[in-house]
Amino acid sequence: MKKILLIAMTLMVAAGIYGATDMVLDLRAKSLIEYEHVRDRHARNLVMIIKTVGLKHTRRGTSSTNTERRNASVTDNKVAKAKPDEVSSGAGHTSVAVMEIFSRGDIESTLEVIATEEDEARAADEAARHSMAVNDDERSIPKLE
Amino acid sequence: MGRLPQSLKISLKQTLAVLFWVPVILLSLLLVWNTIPYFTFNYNMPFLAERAVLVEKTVWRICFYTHISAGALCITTALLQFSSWILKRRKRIHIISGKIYVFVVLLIGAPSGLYMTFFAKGGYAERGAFLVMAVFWFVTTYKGFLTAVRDKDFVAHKYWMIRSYALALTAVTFRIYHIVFHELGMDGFNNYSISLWISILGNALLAEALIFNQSKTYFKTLKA
Repeated sequence: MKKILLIAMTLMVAAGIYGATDMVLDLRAKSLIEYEHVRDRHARNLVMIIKTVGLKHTRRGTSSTNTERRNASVTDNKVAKAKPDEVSSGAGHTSVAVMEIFSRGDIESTLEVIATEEDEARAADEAARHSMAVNDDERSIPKLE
Repeated sequence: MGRLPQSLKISLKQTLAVLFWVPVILLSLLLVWNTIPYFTFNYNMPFLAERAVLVEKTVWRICFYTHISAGALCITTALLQFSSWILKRRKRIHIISGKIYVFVVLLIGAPSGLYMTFFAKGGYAERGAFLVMAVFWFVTTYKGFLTAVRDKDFVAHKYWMIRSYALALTAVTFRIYHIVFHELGMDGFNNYSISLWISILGNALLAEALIFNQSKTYFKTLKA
């Protein structure tokens, strides 16, 4: 009788410990899955942010012709519609930036990189405009022949 | 009650016993009957389909099937235990079915139930309810067995077994409350939670009221 009661108590304690451990592990797994979902959602939001930033960046800086602008815009739209894990190919700063985010997983520094690139592009744009203005000025000077 | 004639007292007692036992027996057998389809091992049954992720777990699946088998056996054997006719005239039946009840609860029903509490439907409140039920079911049955076999204190044995059976019967009363509250228009999850707690606390209180009514020294029954 004592043995049976001892077995029963052992079973009860084992069931309690095993069940509690199993539940904690399950909760941990669930929270990891939720974390993945949140990260994916966050990444999608970032794609939207980068799309906006990238679009400005492309229009202001790197695309000088209408065709390039149109192409850049098409790329941005594709990126915006794509799921985060699908954004791995394609041309343009946006997809490069998105790829960088996924590869590094460091959102803040990636945004800083984008901001720096945008500043640089803006500076380059200004320089190009200045250069064009100088050239125009030079052209406007009548040649003394 | 003290002023009533003896014959009227007896007939009132018998009427109350019939009013109590007839629905209890019928509903217990209905519960056992309803567990039979689960042994077709069809995982598309509503209870299992709702827990599709858990069914994938081998341990949970084993616990589920052992728990419902144990539950059916407990409910059936317990029905024989409170018959005074069996106790007086066929004591052997009482002892055998009592041992089956005790060993099934202690070795199968309560441990498998305890494991399943951690994955019960609902939040911590519902899991807590099942946890309380599993632990107290084990403790009361354990005490009931010890008081009979070791201490030979059959009055205390009776009281502990009333407590144990009250907890076993929550499987029946929970379904009654669930249906009643559903008919009253209470929505799914609140209904589930409230029915669960009311069935546990209600049965426990009813058992305590019964023991209080029968024993002269109620608090001693808790220590025995």
